[in-house]
Amino acid sequence: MWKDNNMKLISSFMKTRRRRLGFAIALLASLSVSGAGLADSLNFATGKEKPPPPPDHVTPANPPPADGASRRIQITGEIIDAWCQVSGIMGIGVGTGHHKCAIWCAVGGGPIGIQGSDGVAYILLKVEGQDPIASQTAIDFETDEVKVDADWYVRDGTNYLIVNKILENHGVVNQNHQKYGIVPFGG
Amino acid sequence: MRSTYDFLRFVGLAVLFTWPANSFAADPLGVNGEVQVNLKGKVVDILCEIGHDCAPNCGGGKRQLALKTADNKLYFASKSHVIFAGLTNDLIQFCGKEIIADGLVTSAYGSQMLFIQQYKTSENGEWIDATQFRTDWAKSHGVDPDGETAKAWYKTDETVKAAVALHGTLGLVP
Repeated sequence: MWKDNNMKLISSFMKTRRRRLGFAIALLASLSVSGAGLADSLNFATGKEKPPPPPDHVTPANPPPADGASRRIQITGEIIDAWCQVSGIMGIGVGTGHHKCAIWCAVGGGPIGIQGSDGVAYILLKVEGQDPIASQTAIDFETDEVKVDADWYVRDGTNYLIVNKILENHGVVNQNHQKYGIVPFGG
Repeated sequence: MRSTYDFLRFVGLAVLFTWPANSFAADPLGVNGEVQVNLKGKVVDILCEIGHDCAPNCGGGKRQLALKTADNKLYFASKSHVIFAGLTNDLIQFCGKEIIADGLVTSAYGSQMLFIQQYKTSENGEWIDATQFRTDWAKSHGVDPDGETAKAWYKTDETVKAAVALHGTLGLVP
């Protein structure tokens, strides 16, 4: 009985060509975007607050180098797991709330970066002569706030640094775990 | 009755024609500035490309790699299809060679990155899942690459354990 009633309802809804077309378009649209918003479901955040979205634009503190050239700069910022920070996949990509995830990603060969105080995420290509992939230095420095002397390159929408020297290491400064929780999986 | 049949036939054909495109396109994640891409490019060492500091075999797996497309554009290859793992294990074997990559570009904070989900070495080749990190990790730890231990590699990895033991979950232990 329940089935019959519902079939009648569906048949009456599908009576006009416009409704049938609308339903078909909606069905196809849902097939093509079914994965959108997956990042939200991957944010296993236990946080009390939702972190703010990234700004639409950032302006580097220093004038950018010319095409193909570098500029020597000093920049202060937090050592980050660059993938999580740029993608926003975990909700937060900085601070104590993301520290353990940053360790996982550094050990997994993910890119290391510096989230500059100017808002730019810089990718580290070399740190004091060491290549960065899964390096013990990178793992040990995750989440620390540092001041570095570096050669800065910009290429095809990405900012890169070759760090000549870590001038200062202030340790972990950005303590955001109480505000946003620990991501992913909680504590 | 006739119109219902026509409708079902329309939906069936529409799904049939759109399904192959969906099944071969990268899975969306809803990350910052997400763009689905299918790129053909040469695997290059970024440090060599922009800093002219070159090393044999693109640095042997210790350097950041990129895909350089025919229009000379660099796509920073940062994320593989393994949880919490980068792409170097997948790409290092193709240093200087061309691959076709299927994935996503994400951008925010003035930088952008490429997440490769699968790749192939020729137009007619088979798609390969970008999971070499898990395969290599499983081999070095003597476990099944498709088993739960390898899939959750970060839970038992000795380097992770040592780092967390040293500085704590929050990194606050001096």
